[in-house]
Amino acid sequence: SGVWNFGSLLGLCLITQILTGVFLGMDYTSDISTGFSSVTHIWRDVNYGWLIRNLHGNGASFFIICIYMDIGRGLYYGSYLYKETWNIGVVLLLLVMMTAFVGYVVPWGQMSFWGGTVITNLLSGVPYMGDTLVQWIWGGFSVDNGTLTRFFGFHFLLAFVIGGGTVVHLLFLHETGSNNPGGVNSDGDKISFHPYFSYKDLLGFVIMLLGLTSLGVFSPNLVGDPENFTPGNPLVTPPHIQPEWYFLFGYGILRSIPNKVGGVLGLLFSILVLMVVPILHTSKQRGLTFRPVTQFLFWTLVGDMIILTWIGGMPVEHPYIIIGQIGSVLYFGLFLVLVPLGGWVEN
Amino acid sequence: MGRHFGDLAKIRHVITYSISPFEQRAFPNYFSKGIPNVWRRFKSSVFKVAPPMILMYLTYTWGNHVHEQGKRKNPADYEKDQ
Repeated sequence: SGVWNFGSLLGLCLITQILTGVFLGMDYTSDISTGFSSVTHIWRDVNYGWLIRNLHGNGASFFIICIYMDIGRGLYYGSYLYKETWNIGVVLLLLVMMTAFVGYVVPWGQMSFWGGTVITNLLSGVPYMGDTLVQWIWGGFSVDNGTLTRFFGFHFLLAFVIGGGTVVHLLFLHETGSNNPGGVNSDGDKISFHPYFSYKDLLGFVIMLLGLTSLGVFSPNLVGDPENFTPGNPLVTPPHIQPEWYFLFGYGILRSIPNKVGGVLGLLFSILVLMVVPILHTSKQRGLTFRPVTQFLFWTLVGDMIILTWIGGMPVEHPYIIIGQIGSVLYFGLFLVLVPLGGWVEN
Repeated sequence: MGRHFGDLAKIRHVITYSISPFEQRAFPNYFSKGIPNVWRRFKSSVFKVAPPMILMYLTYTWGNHVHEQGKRKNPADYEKDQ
């Protein structure tokens, strides 16, 4: 069905990000004295620089939408039973999140600087060598020029690491072939890539590119933070430091645990829990197509992630604290307890 | 790498029939059967999708309401003012 388009769409997103990123890199300078103004220069002076920056920034949002949809498809239809493909997919998710994080620091706005400061400081929770580790990552005693130059380098490099990971992901997928909504063996029903999947993927490309250009042209700042229009200033802390929308659910989980190391572990395991899903598969059926109880739990997970995303963007005040804590418990409870239980009941 | 046509599956005792695309309509009964089918598909999934979404919305509105209430002054705190 249409939800199988997100794999090829992710390939398109990666190519789009690399192309627009290479062109941005031709005019960007990764120094704290010129970084922010080089972005302004791209926007105002470089031919179609505004459009390239638009596409790159909003392209990141579409990249992550496609990843979340691809994971959702994997969870719903039991595609995770292709364990190698699935686990490399989790690694790709982590790589994309790292790329997006360091990429957000690059424009050196207020949220770039302070978001970078908050998240890199989380590494100080590592026992014994935490502070040394953070200073090693920073290249100094705070987020400063050393941090910016290397984060730009990491951002550029990681894009190609993702490309390599994608090749390995596809290598394993092509050993088995794709899953399907029925969750059944489809060896006897295979059809050629061209014209069936070439045109299907092309339709998906057209729809996504339409969405991306519409967002970029009609509402380019819809998902952005206004603080990033102010140059990064270590002496002025924004009242509400928050990451981009796609990280807010993890941010909500992080802040729900009133312990620094606990919060960091919660954030880490909110992603790593995906690697445990194939091990906890209890149902005799592969996907959720004929499993109404677990379907309800799946949509509960979707609703819970939306709630956690909302909470991650709210101040840490009542009743947002308790909602975030219940949401976090529900998130892990669904993966580790409720969904395996649902599968067992349905058997 | 991977598997190839001709080496995928052996299926015996199954006879399939097909009609030429030039002998049939491209989108038969698109509205007359399609619209009732959409309603059938909606009914079969609405009670699994809608309740979590409704709960999510109610949590969102309740949470924002309680937060706004918490920012208001409590008249009882100012009763003894002159």
